[in-house]
Formats: sequence, structure tokens, C-alpha cells
Amino acid sequence: MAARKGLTLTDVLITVVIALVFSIIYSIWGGVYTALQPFGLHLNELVYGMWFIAAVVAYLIIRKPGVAIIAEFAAASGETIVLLQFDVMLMLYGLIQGLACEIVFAIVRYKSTALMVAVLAGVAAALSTLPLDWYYGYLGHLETWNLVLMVGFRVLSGALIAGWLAHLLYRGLKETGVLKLVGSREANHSGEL
Amino acid sequence: MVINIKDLRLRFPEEEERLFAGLDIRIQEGEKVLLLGPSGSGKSTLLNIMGGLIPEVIDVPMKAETLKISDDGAYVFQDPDSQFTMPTVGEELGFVLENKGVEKAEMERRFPDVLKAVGLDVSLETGIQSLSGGMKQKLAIASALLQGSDTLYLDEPASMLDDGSARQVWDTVESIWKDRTVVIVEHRVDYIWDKVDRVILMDASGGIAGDGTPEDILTDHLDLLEGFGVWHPRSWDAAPVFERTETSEENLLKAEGMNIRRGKDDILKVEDLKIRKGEWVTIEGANGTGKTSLLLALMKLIPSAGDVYYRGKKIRKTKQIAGDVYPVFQNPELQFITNKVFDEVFINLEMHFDKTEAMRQTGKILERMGLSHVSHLHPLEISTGQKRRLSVATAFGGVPEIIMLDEPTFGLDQKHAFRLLEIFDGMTKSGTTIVMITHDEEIKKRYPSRRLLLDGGILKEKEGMTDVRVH
Amino acid sequence: MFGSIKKYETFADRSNPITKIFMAVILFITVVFIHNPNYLFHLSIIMMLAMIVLSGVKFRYLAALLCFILLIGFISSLYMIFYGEGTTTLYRLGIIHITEESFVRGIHIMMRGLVLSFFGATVIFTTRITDVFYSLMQQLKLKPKYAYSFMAAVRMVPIIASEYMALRQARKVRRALIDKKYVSGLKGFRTAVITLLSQSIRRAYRLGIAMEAKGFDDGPRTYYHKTSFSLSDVFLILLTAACIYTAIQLGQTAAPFASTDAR
Repeated sequence: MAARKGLTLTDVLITVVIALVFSIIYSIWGGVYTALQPFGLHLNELVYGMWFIAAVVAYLIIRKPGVAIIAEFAAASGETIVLLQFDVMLMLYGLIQGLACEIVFAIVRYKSTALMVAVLAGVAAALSTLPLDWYYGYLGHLETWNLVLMVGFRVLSGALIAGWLAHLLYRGLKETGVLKLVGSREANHSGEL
Repeated sequence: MVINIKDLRLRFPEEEERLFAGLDIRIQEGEKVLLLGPSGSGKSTLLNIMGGLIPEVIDVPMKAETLKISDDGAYVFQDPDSQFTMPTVGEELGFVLENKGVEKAEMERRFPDVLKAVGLDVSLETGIQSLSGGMKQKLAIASALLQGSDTLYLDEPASMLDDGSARQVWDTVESIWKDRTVVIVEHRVDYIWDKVDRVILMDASGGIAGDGTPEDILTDHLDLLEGFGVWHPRSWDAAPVFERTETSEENLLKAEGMNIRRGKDDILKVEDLKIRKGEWVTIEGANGTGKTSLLLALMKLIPSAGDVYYRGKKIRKTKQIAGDVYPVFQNPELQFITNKVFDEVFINLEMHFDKTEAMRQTGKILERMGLSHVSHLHPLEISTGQKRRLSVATAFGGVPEIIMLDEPTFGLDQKHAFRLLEIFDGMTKSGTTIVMITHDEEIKKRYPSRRLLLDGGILKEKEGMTDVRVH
Repeated sequence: MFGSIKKYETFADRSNPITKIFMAVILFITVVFIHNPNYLFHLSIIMMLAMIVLSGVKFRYLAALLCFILLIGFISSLYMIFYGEGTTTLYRLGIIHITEESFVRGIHIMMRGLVLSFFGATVIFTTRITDVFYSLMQQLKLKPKYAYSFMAAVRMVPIIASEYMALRQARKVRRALIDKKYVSGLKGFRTAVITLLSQSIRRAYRLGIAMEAKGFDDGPRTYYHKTSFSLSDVFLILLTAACIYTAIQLGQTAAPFASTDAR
């Protein structure tokens, strides 16, 4: 029997559901983010990495092309549904951040679940939307020290939250045995019957 | 013959042992068959093979000498929350027909008939989320009918329902099963035992231990049924009997003028409720009468008007009462916090004993609950019945005065349900109070020292006893 | 979905979700390229009026939403107001340095957010989620596999939310009997998220099987809801264009900001 290629219905379903769990977390996290904003010191950037965690966790679990983009886009749309706020910008950002992660995962050929890969994806996602922010938020017109602070915080947050924390969650999930349901299919067909 | 499987072999990738090693099974057209067996005997797996889900959808390596199956059969699964795709009744039924390429006009022509056939009187725009558990399962049956199959596979369709709804679902199944082949996996068998043509009894190692009419199985294989610990129509004949002890007059928990609301609706009023030391109290009432809400309100986990007292002290926050009064909720998974079955009990005991003693006692508790062999596993990894037992076990460590349980025997097989009842009896005798929500008529009849009933939005004493406030 | 708070329906309810999403993208691109705060000032007011009229939602709900959007918009512009470059100092306190330029720029960023939020709210109030996916499949040929996964998963959001509530309640009680270190901080967060994820993955897995058991495959199919483009879509496109045009015209005659370039 041929193992099914590409994303199966179950793969997509699991990806989207993981994303929606995170979209609930994002929605709560939005409060933390906003509460940190008034200082203007970009402290909010320190928690920004939470917004790309869905892509990294979904990839670590399923490890197939497309999962990171779908997860991040679904999480962003999920936020729209949970908060009842349709925000094109949010979804566009989700798409770009998912794509950034996807590139990192493609480089390792969707095989590695190393911590370093997760961290790199987190950093890539953190940097990916800077060009858009530059135009939208006039970042070029910030005082230089302030801009450096912002980018630094963001990269740090991407590495820590979307990278390290995502990996921690992945390892925990593995212990629960639930990942046997999504495990790679080739491994299923070894051994005598 | 609808199904003919010969020399079936199957092994789950992560398991050492084969689940099936040379199983033969045949099912004739129009037969109504009940598959029965202890947990791990492979009933559901077999059902999935008969309908072609294994290996088409669920990729498990298997082979068989002969494999004639009915793979256009329709399924009804156990959990209403994970078998619907769409938000409304009409869209869900539509989904089934969309899959078959039926045009919209034809869909709308067929919906009313199928809803009528299952006795579901709701509009097509009704949100599935607003249906009760029983109605959801009827909708699942309606979807199965729309698939137009002559074979139905029912995988514990009533196991998550209360008695009343379960009976309704089985009546519905019976009303539509003429001219169809029906294969059922179910562990609560009282309603269907006499209705099926044939019972196939499977053993713990994936073999067939008995096969015959329901009467034959009951007369010839009663010892096997008892040995496997599965429920059967005569289960309660062998139920444990306890000596009733006098309960003390000491009041522990008291609620006065309690009023629980959900949104703008009053759901439950409790004039005056007293729980005394050493009592075994059941809380009864149909689905949606607020039994779980009462439990949450007593724990101050949801807001309510009125006062709760514990040993005469007014309780304002969960913190003040948690530990002395310990609730065990319905979803065991959500109560676990560690990554090992052992630790789940151990973290309670390490607060009271030194490490060696705590470990010794943890071992004893797990042993008593039949969980020793899984103590090294993750709490989310074990079977549903084991999870429920573990969630009850988390109550023992802290030695609370009152344990409040929300359907503790739900989904347990006979063996473990009886074991649990014995444990509860032992606890009440040593002075712990048991308050339990239950739907099980037999438990209500046999064990409690006092029965409370939620009916029409008020709490009452049951069985000739007067209103609660008299006490 | 909003039946209880809606008073009436307009062509916005009848237009295709794809048109609305497309218009939202156009609007996003437009505001990124508008640097004149006067244009944006009028555009945000016009979009607010459009939301009030087209959403059909009772005014008291809109008023609450309005306050929320304004507050969030203002907060998110503070970084620029406080730390943006500029020469004409208005106020200085420690590292905070508000200049006329940074202030206008901050308000400009806030107005960008307002325009998008107002239009976004209009879309939300006039669109059924399932219709979005039905039209993505029918008009944009999105594979059913993705569309139905989304719709099925959306159904799970309330279930996940109620599981989260139950989990919190359970922890509140268990807390009393165990060392706090197990349920607080990162450890507590981690185990909570893992439990929710694991439950959801199991449910998604079972749902996938149930869907395939019901005969779902990724091939051609019929649709219970037919979606198409209509005159309503033309109205919506014209209206959006008119809003942008009017805002730019008004911005040239009635200019509340002295600056014409926020950069």
C-alpha cells in the first residue's frame, strides 16, 4: 500500500487546530502586548515572538512542506475569529512570518527537529516583517538607539519564544504519546506481521 | 455474507505484540451484531477494519487471507464533538451529500425525511453546538443514513450520554435498522442486549472467546464476562454489598440561599443544604439541570448568590475550602499537571510525608486503583478508564474531608466500577464524606446514605424525605 | 452569528466575502501609500460612518467597539510620539522626547490603524465565516481539504476555550494540595498548553477519520451553499473607491493638520 504523499486531510486538520489553540493564546497575549506598549520602549517587542510559535510547533509535529505557512496563516485568521476583528494586516503578517519559517524548514529539508532549527525559524520570522513595519510604522524616523532596541528585542523574542519555548512544548507533547497519531508513515511499515 | 475476514493479522507499529494473529470473523446480511470485550481487545480496531477505515484512512499494517468487507458502510462515533465538520444541522447534512455530489435541490428534498426518521425536530439553521448530546448523536445517525449504506458501524454511540438520552438513541437505532446490517461496539449494553441477534465476545489478546445469541452468551459464558470485567445484563447480581453505617450528626458543609445563574437565567436554587461527616450523598437530575454547576458553586469556582460555610466558617474564595473539600471533575485530562502517572499522585503525598514514605504510599494507592502497570506512563497516554481512575486517585493523597465526584464511574468497565465503589465505601467508613453526581440507576439505588435530586431548578431530597431545609 | 445584535442587512451582507477581503487589501495598500495626514483624517471618519451604516449593528455595541478601537489605536502609536525623530520640541521628560513631527507621525500611524479596523469590523459584522470558505472554494478554487479543515477547526474554538476554563478551575483546586511550583510560572504554562494541544490533536485526528468515513475526498463536489458575484459586489467596490476619492478631495480643502507629509 502506498504511503500517502503530501499533506493529508488529517495533517491539515491537525495543523489548523494547533494554530487555533495558539490563536486563543495570541488573543490573550494581545493584552500583554498592548499593556507593554505605553512605555514606548518596545518592551512589547519582547513578547512579540509568541506570534510565530504556531508555525514552529506545527512544523516540529508534522514536518511536511506547507505546514508552517498554513499554521501561521490559520493562527492569524483564528485571531480574527476569536477577537471578532478582521485585520488584513494581521493576516498578511501571518503569511509572511509563516513563509519565513517555511524557508528555514525547507533548508533542512523538513527533517530536523533540532532546537537550533526552531530558534533559526523564530529569528527569521522576527526579521521577516521589518520591511513592512518600516513603511507602515515609519521606523526610519525613529531615534537610532530606539530602533536598535526594537530590532534587538524582537530577534531575542523570536529566538526565545518561537524557538526555545516552541521546542519545549514539542518535547512535552511527545511525552504525552499523542504524536504517535501524526508520526511519519514510513515508520509504520517495518517489522513482521 | 456482508463481511468475511479470514486469518487477520495486525500489529500497531509501537506495540510489541500483535493485536490480531489469525482472527476469523463472518457477518451475514441483515445481522445485528454486538462486539464485546475488555479494553484493549481490539473491538474498535476490528470495526474500523470492517468498514475499510483501516488501512485506507488509518494507516496500520495488516494482512488477511480473505478480506471481504463492506467499505461503503457508515459510521457513528462516540464523541459528538469530534465527528461534525460544519456549524449548523443543514450544513452538516449538506456536507455528507456534497461528498456524494448531490445537487442542492435534491439535498433539500432529502433532509426532512432523514431528520424525521431519527426523530430530530430542529430547523436546518440550528447550531450543532446548541444541541444536547443525545440530539447530536441522532444527527450523526441521520448523516449515516444519508450516506445510503446498508451497513452501519456504531462505535460506542451512547457511551457519553446519560441514561435517558442513551435509551432514546438506541430506540432511534432500532427504528432504522430493519434491512440493514449493524455492527455495534458498546460497553453499556443493558438496552441493546436483547435486541441484537448475536454477541461476539473478544478476549484481551484479540481472539474470539465466545460467539452466539445474547441468551447463549449469558448462559454459557457468564464466567468469561465476569472474568473480563465487562458490563452485561446480570452485572449487578455480583455487585458489592456494603453494611450501612450510621453517619455522624456533625455538619461539615452548608449552603444557604444559594442561587446559580447562567447569563440571565436562574438555573438552580438551593435553600439550605447540609453535608454531614461520613455521608455518601448522590446528586441526581437530568442533563442540564445544573449538577456540575452546583459542584462548582460550592467550591466557589463560579459566582452564585447566597453563602457557603465549611465547619461554620463562611467561604468566600476557593482557596479557603480547597484541600478540605476536593472535587474530581468530569474531564480527567484537564486535572493532570505532571508528566507521569506516578507523580500525579506523588505530588500530593510529598506534602505530608518524607520521600520514601510518600513513594511507598503512592505505590499503594496506584495498586489499589489498578494503575501500577502504567505508573511510568504520561497521564495523557493511558486509556480513558485509567485516566478516570487516576483522577480519582489524585483525591486520596491530601486526605480531604469531603470528596465531590462528577460521574466517577462513567466509562469504567464493571470490574473497575465495582472496585471504585468499594473504595468509596471504605472511605466513608473511615469518616470521609462522599458526594457524587451520578446517572447510574443501580448506584443510586444501592449505595448512597442520602439522595439529592435537582428538579425544576430546585434541590430536593429524594425518596419520601422532605425538603432539604428540614434537616 | 450576530443575529441578536443586528438590526438590518444591506448590500454589504450580500456581497461576496472575496470582494470584501480584496477591498481590505486595497485599503491596506492605499493607507501605506498615503503620507498626508489630512487625507487619512477624512478617510478614517468616512470609514467610521461606513461601519456605523453598513454593519447594521445596534449602536450601543458599535459605541463600545469604537472606544476600544480608538484606545488600542492611540496606544499603538505612542512609540512614535515619544521617541520619533523631530526638530520642534513640544515636550521632554527623561528619554521621552515629543516633537511636532513625531506627534503628527504618531497620529498618522494611529489613523492608518483606525481605517483598517473600521473596515475590518464592517466585514466581520456582514460575513458568515462558512461563506468565506464556500466562496474561496467556488470562486477561487481553493482545495476542499483546506476549506473544510478550517470550517471544522473553527467549530472547535469554543470547545477549546471551555476546556481552558475547566483546566483553570481544576488547577485552582489541586493547587491547595500540592507544591505551587507545579502549577505556576513557565512550568504551569507549559503543562497547560501541552494538555490543551494534546486534547485538540486527538480530537482533530478523530475528526479527520470521521470526515473521511463520511465520504470526504479532495476531488470535485457539489455545494450546499452556492456563492457567486453579484451587483452587491459592484456596489461595494464603487463605495470603497468613492470613500478614498472623497477623503483625498476633502483633505485638500479642509486640512486639520498643518503638515501635508507625515514623514
